[in-house]
Amino acid sequence: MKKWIIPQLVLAFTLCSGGLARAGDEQRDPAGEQEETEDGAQPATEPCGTEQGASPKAVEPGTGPEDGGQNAYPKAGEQGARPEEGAGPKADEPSPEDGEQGASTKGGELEPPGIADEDLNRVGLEDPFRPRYIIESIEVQGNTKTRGDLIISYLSLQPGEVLDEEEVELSRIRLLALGYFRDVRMRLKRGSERGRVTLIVEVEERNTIIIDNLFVGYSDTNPFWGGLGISDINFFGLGMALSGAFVVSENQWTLRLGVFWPSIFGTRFSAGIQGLYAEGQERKLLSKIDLPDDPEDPCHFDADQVLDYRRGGAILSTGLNLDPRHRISLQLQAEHIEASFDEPKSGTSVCENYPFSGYLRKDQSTLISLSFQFERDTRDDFFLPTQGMHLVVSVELASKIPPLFSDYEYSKYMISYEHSIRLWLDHVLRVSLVGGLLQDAGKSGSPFFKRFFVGDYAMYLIKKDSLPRNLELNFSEVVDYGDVLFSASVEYDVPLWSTGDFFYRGYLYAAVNFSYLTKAAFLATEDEWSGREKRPVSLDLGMKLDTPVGLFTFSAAYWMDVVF
Amino acid sequence: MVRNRPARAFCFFLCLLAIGTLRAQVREVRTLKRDVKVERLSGRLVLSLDFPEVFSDRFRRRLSSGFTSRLLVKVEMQGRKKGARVLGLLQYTILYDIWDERFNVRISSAGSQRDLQVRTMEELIARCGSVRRMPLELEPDLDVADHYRTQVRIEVNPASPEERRKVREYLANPDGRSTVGSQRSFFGSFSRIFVRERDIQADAVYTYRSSDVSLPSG
Repeated sequence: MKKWIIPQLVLAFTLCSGGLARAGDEQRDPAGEQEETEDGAQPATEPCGTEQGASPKAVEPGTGPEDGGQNAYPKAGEQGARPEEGAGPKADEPSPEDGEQGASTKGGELEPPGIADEDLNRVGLEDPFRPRYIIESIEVQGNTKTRGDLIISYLSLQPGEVLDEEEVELSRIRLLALGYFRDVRMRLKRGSERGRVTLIVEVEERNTIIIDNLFVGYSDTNPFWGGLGISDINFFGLGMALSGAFVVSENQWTLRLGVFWPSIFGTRFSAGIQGLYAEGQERKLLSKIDLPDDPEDPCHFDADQVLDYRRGGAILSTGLNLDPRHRISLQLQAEHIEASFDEPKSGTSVCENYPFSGYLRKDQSTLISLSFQFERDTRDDFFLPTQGMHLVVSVELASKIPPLFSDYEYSKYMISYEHSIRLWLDHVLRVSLVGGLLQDAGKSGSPFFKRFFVGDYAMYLIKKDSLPRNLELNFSEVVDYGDVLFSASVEYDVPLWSTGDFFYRGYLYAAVNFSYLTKAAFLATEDEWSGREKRPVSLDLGMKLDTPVGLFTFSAAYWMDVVF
Repeated sequence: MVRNRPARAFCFFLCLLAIGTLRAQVREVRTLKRDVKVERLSGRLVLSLDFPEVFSDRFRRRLSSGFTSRLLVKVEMQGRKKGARVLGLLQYTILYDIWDERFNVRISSAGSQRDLQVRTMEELIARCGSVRRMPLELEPDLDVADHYRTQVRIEVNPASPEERRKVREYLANPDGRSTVGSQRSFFGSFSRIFVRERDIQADAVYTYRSSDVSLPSG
């Protein structure tokens, strides 16, 4: 009995107010049942026009509002009352058909529809609280950097169309979601004739420079490395994103600079170009490789043998949003690579597993690859998805055959799948699966940085370094590159708060990961492999924060990897 | 020298965070402690409250925009012994007619609805900036001996679940710019969120709370 009181109140409210659907949907009693209240009143069938929530008998004449009628709760007989509910309209008032629309009024209240001539000029008369004007023109105000036509291109309304308030609100959110504006307001101005309006979009621009990435760490092979990624997401007010990122250490560094156009002239097509340059250094775990000590042996190598390399090139990309949930993209990568390392003194036939064999082609080479990617995203929230899935399938090809003319030949296939399930108390269980396969044409078929790296997927494992690569540079002490990847993760999320002023939302997470990689063919021996495949399970614990400048993940696993 | 680099990077990062704080969004969420008058009238509990703060400059601009605005008033009473329950709901639907230059107001509540018109913003605030003797629904098990705290929550332009779903679709699927390298890094990957979930629930939310009082006898 008790638990139905609130639903029935909401239901009664819904039935009597046409506009309540916005606010009341989430509280509506799904069963739609009604029961009598204690005093016998039936709110759902109570007259629309009596004292709110009260049975008519509860309202005594003369107990009206203290403000002399302003903000009074409608009494029987006022507009909105149903004729059959005892307090019908007065004789000189027309009887409203439904108690909501077209009620007659006195003293400045609504005129009955059909009597006011000007109302006939409205495009729609079905609800005076949902005007349906014709949009005559659209004006943008307040923009000093962003082009007006760019702003208009993100609106889902065009001149000549009937104004839809819901579309206006969605357009406003869409503009806010771009990140260019601190605030977006919409208002209407009279048009050239009644029923026609000018839609005015008032924007307040914001700083559009944000942090994309922050890299800090140290290891035995790289005493310290640090880097930053920054983007201006509204470059020159054109709606393009200009991004720059770098990572630098004592031994290696890289720089990336790119421009991305997420919506070309307001269409569903996107395009981007990114330039990259890197001076890197790969180290071998020579202590773990069984190499002859004799300096005269053709397979002898110095203990401090390193692979120095340079990469310079560009990545061109284009994409198409098929619909809000599906996207395809195409990417062309072209690089010039220089690599220097020692080779066996008497050819490779007697020393197949010499250091850096298969990492890169010696001296100068060219990498040209073409990638295709399909993405399906049904997640309900970007920060903490509580339901929905995210599927990414990609294929990358490099070949010596025209038109690619690459010195490297390989094909790389990847699939990743993430699914979120909402549990009790808004806790979330998330399952992630990643699979990958890289096929080489020969031992130097693919450059080493295209291989799967264990640190990119695995979390913390005692005495097993799993630091991820930063901008494709390996700063860790392991060389666990693989050709076949399978990684599975289960994450449990506990929301902590969702009302902060700066830290809007936060949640704790605990995750366990299973990652398995097959040793890349170019790794010299099984000993060089860190042995992670013997203990492929790793763990992470951390917190994620949603802030005005982006999402932050404080990963205990990352710090454990750095410290231990 | 090398040891100072992480500290510098962290300080720089904190500066950026501070800038971000200053640039936080403008949505207003306020909680005010105010006496909420609850009395008995003809055997029923009724509530009176003034809330002129709701009519901020921003909301006034919205009211004059020509688009429909809504104020949803929810009244809850929280006893010391039992949790909160909704005891009253009221909605003001307000539309400024840009041609006739007047405000059309619809007052909807459980079992009733009333339309009226006012000419000026001052009149509008006088009519919609308060509730007078709003009847509250009594629950059968209400313990009159308990002490209650009254909470009036006013949501400005609350969004429907359907609207929220559509907005989330925008937010959950950003522009497709892929991140470079691993998703794991010092602070993890950064994503670009410029509209918060709570920002799409309502333009503003005001909560008025009274001190603990016993129910008036009647």
